[in-house]
Amino acid sequence: MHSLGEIFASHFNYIAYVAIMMVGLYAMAAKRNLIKKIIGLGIFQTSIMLLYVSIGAKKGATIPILAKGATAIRPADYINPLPHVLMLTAIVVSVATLGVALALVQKLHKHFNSIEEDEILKELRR
Amino acid sequence: MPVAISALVFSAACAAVLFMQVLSTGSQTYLLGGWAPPWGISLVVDPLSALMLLVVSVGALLNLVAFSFTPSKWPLRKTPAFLGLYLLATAGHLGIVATGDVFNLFVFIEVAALSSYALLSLGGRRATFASLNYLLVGSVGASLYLLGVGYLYIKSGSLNMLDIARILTTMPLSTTALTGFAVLMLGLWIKMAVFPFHAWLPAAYASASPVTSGLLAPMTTKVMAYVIVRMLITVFPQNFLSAMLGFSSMAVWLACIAIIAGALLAIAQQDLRRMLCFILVAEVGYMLGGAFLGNDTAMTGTILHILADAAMTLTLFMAVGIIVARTGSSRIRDMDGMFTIMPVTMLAFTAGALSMIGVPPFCGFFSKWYLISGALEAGHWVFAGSLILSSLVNVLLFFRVFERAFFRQPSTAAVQGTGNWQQLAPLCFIALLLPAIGLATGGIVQQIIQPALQGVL
Amino acid sequence: MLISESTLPLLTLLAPLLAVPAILMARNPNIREAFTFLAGFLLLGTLLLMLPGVLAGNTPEIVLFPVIPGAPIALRMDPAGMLFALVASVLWIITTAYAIGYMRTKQEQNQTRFYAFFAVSLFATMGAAMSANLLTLYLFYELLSFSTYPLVGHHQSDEAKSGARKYLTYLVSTSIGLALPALLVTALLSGTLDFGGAPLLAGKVGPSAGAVLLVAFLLGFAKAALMPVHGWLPAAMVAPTPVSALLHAVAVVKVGAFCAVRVVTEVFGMEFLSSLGLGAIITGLAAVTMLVSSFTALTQDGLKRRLAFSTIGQLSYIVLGIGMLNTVAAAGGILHIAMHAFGKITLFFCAGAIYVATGEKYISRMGGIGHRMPLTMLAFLIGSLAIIGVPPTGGFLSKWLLLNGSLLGDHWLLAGVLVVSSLLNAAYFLPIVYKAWFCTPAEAQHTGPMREAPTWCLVPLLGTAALSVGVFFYQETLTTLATMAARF
Repeated sequence: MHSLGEIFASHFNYIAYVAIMMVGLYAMAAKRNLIKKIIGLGIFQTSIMLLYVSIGAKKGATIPILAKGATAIRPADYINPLPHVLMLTAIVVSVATLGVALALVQKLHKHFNSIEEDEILKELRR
Repeated sequence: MPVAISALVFSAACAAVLFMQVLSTGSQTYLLGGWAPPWGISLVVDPLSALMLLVVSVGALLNLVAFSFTPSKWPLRKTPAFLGLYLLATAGHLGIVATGDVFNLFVFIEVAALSSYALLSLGGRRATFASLNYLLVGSVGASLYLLGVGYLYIKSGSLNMLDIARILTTMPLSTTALTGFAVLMLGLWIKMAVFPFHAWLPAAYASASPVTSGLLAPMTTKVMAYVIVRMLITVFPQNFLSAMLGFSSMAVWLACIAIIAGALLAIAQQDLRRMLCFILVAEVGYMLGGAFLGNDTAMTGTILHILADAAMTLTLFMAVGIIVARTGSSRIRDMDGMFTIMPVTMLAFTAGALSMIGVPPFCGFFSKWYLISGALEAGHWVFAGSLILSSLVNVLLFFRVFERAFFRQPSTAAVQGTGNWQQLAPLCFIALLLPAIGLATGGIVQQIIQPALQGVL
Repeated sequence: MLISESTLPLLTLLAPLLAVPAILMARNPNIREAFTFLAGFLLLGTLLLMLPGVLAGNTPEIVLFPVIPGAPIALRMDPAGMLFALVASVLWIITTAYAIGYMRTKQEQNQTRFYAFFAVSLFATMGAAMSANLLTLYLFYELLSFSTYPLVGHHQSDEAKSGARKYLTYLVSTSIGLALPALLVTALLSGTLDFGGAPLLAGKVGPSAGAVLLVAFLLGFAKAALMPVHGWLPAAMVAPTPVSALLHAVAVVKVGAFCAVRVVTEVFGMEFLSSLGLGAIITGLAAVTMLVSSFTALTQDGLKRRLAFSTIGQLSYIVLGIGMLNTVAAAGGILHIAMHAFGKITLFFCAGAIYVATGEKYISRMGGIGHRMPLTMLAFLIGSLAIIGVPPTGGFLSKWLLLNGSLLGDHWLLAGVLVVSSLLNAAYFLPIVYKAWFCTPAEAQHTGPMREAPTWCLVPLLGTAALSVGVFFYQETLTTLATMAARF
C-alpha cells in the first residue's frame, strides 16, 4: 500500500478538486443569499473544470502545435488538448447558466424586493 | 407561431421518416463535420433512439398545437422569445437522444436544461423561484454527469459511446471507471428527480404555465431515463453492474422508496397538478428500478415505461392544462362536475388515469407487467410490491377526482366558453394513442427493444 | 358461409360496443333504445350462429393483438363461455325492455349515459366470457369494474357515491392487489397463460405455494363475492334496479364466478388440485360464505339487500360445485350460472316493479302487496322457487347435479350444507310471498284493486319467470354446454 503522503502527492489534483467542490456545495446548501448560492454553483462547476484541465497536463510537455518540418512526433512532448477544449465548451455552458441564474434572481428581486431565500419563502407562504 | 408549428411538424415528420428507415435498414450514423469517430462527434440513431425522437418531437408538436389555440390566463406576452425557448428545449432533448458522444450529451443536457429553466420561470413569481431552485439542483446534476464523463475519459481516452464500450470491455475493471459510472449515474438521477433529489420537480412543474409543464413533464424525466438505459445497454459493459451489485441494489431500493414516497406524497396534495407531479416522482422510481434490476425483462419494462409514461404524462398534463386554462384552477375541489363542463377533455384525462393505474389495454399496464415480471424474475419482492401498491394508490388518487368530476353538479361560476377542436384534437389523438401503444406492445418489444438488448445484460 | 367461424367471436364482442356511439349520438330516446335492442339482437344472433359449432365441439378462436409472448389478447369460444354469453345476451335484451319501463317511470337523470355504460358493461362481459387466456380475462374483468362504476353511482346522491366508492375499492384493490400478482407469478412459472391446453400450473407448484396462489385468485376475483370480499355487493344495491338485476345478479357477479371456474379448470386443473388436496380450500370458503350470507339475508329488511345476500350465497354454489373437483358437481356449478341468473333477475325485476309502482323498498312494508300486484308477486314466487331449487324450475336441475356430485365425491358435509342452505333460501323468500297474500287486515299495508307496474316493467319480469320454468323443460342445450364445460 502507498503511504498517505504518497497518495496525497500523486493524487494532488483530485484532492484539490474535491476540496473546491465541497466548498461550492457548502455555499449552495448553507447560504441563504441567492447570489451566494449562485457563486457556490460557480465554484462547484469550476472544480470539475480544474480536474479536466489537470488530467490533460503533462510534466515538461508543451502545447500541441507542431513546429514546421517536425518529423518524429513524440506524444510525451505534447499535452493532451482534448480535455482543455472540452472545458472551453463547459465554461461557455457555465457562463450561460450563470447568466440565466442572474436573470432569474433579478426577476425575483423585482417581485420580492429581496434576494434572501427565507424572506422570499416567507413572502410566498403569505 | 406558424413558424414554430411548422418547424415542429417538419421535425416530427423527419423523425417519423427516420423511424421507418431505421426499422427497415438498421442504424443510421451522421458524422458532424465529417470527422470520423472516435475523434469527431457522431449522431447515432438506432431503433430505440429513433422511437424516442419520434416521441419527443410528436409530443412537443401536439402540446404546442393544443395550447396555441387555448385561451390562457397566462398570455404569452413574449411570444417570439417563448417559442424560441420552446423549440430550443425540444431541440436539446432531441439532441440528447440522438447523440453518440458522451460529452456532446452533456452539452445537449445543458441546452435542454437552460431553456427549460427560462421556460419554467415564465409562470409568475412562484415559478421563478422554483425555477431558480431547479437551476441550482439541475446544474449540480449535470456537473456530476460531466465529472463522471471525466473519469471515463481518464480511463478510456475516448468520448464516443461505442468506442468507450469497446475499450472498457478490453481492460480489467478499475476503480476509476467504476467511480465514473457511479458519479455519472448520480448526476443523472438528480436530473431525473429520483426520490431524495425530487423536490425541484413538483415545485417547478406545478407552478409553471400549462404549456411549459405539458412540454417538460413528459419529456425531461423520460429522456433522462433513456440516457440511463443507453448508458447501461450501450456504454457500460455488463460486468459493471455485476461488479457493483451493492450500487445497483441500492438503486432498486431507492426506486422502491421513490415509488412509495411519491405515492404517499401524492395523496397529501390538494392540487391536481401537484398530485400529478408526485405521481411522476413515483413513475421515475419505476424506470430507475427496472433499469437496475439487471435482467432483460425488467429492462424491457423500463423502455416500455419510458414510452408509456411519456404518452400518459403528456395526456394528463395536457388535459389538466386545458382545464386550468379554461377555469383558472387546478385545485381538486374545483373539479366538481368537470365531466359535464368539458366531457372530451375529461375522457382523455380518464384514459391517461386508467393507464397510470395500469388497466389493460392501456399502455401503462403492459410496461408494468414487464416491470413486475422482471422484479419477480430477480426475486425482488419489495420492488414488485411497491409497483402494486403504487397502482392501488393511483386508483385512490384518480377516483377521488373522478367522483367529484363525475357525480357532482358543476359550480355555475366555472363555466365559460366552449372547447375548440384545435385544442381537443391533439389531446384526443394522444389519448387514443394510449391503448394503441398498449396493443402494439408485442411489436414494439420485438422490433425495437429486443434488438437493442441483444447481447446485453 | 360469408363470415368465417373465427371472426364470429370478434363480432360478438363488438356488437355491444357498436351501440355505444349510436346511443350517444341519438337525439331521441326511442331511437337510442332501439339501438340498444338492435345491438342486443345482433349479439344474440352471432352467438346462435356459433352455437351449433360449439355444441359439436369446435372452439372458434381469434388472436387480436399479440401483446405479450404467451399471452396475446385473444378470443376463444368454448362451452362454458358460450353458456355464460348466451344467458347474458338474452337477459340483456329483456333488461333493456325493463329498463325502459323503469327509467322512464322513475324519470331518472342522465339516461343516455346509463344506456351507454350499460352497453360497455356488456361488451366487457362478452369479452370475459370469450377470453382465450388469463390476460384477456383480466383485461375485461377490470374493464367491467370501471364501466359499472358510473352505473352504481348513477343517482349521484351521497349514498350512491359512497356505495360506488365501496364497490370500486373492493373490486379494484383485490384485482390489482391479489389477482394481478397471482397472474404474474403464473405467467412466470408456466410461460403462457392460454386456456384450452394443459392446466397452466399443473405440476409446477407445491401444495403451499399452490394454496397461496389459489386463495389469491379466488379472493382476487372478488366479483365472485366469496367472504370476506363480499361487501361490495350489498353496497352496489344503491344502483337503479335494472343495473342490480342484470349486472349484480347476472353479468358482473357471474364474471366473478366464471373466473373462479377458469381458475379451477384451466389454471390449476381439477386433477392437479385434488392431487394437492386443495379442493377443501375452495369448498370451505364457499360453504362458509353460503351459510353466513343466508343467515344474514334472513335479517335484512331492504328487499334488494336481501336479494344481494342471497346472490352472495348462490354464487358460492357455483364455486362449491367446481371446488368439489368432480365433473358432475362442476357441471352443476356451471349450470347454476345460468339457472340462478334466470331466477334472480326475476326477483330483482319484481323488487324494481314494486318500487316503481308503490315506492316501497322494505319487506316489512309489503304486507298484502299480492292483492295489489298479483302478477308481479306470482313471478316473485316462481323466482323464489327457482332459487330454492323446486321443480319445475331451472334451479332444480343445477342443485340436483350439485347434490349428486357431492354424494359422488363422498362430501357428506357439503351435501348437508347444500340442503341447509336451500332450506334457508326458502326461509328468507317464502315469508315475503306469504305475507303478500295472507296477512291479517291489520297487517296489510296494501290492498286491491290491482294496480301493476307499467307494462314495460311487467312483461319482462313475466318473461324471465317463464324462462325460469321453461329451462326446466327445454334444458338440453344448457345442460349439454355445462357438461361439456365440466369435462376439462
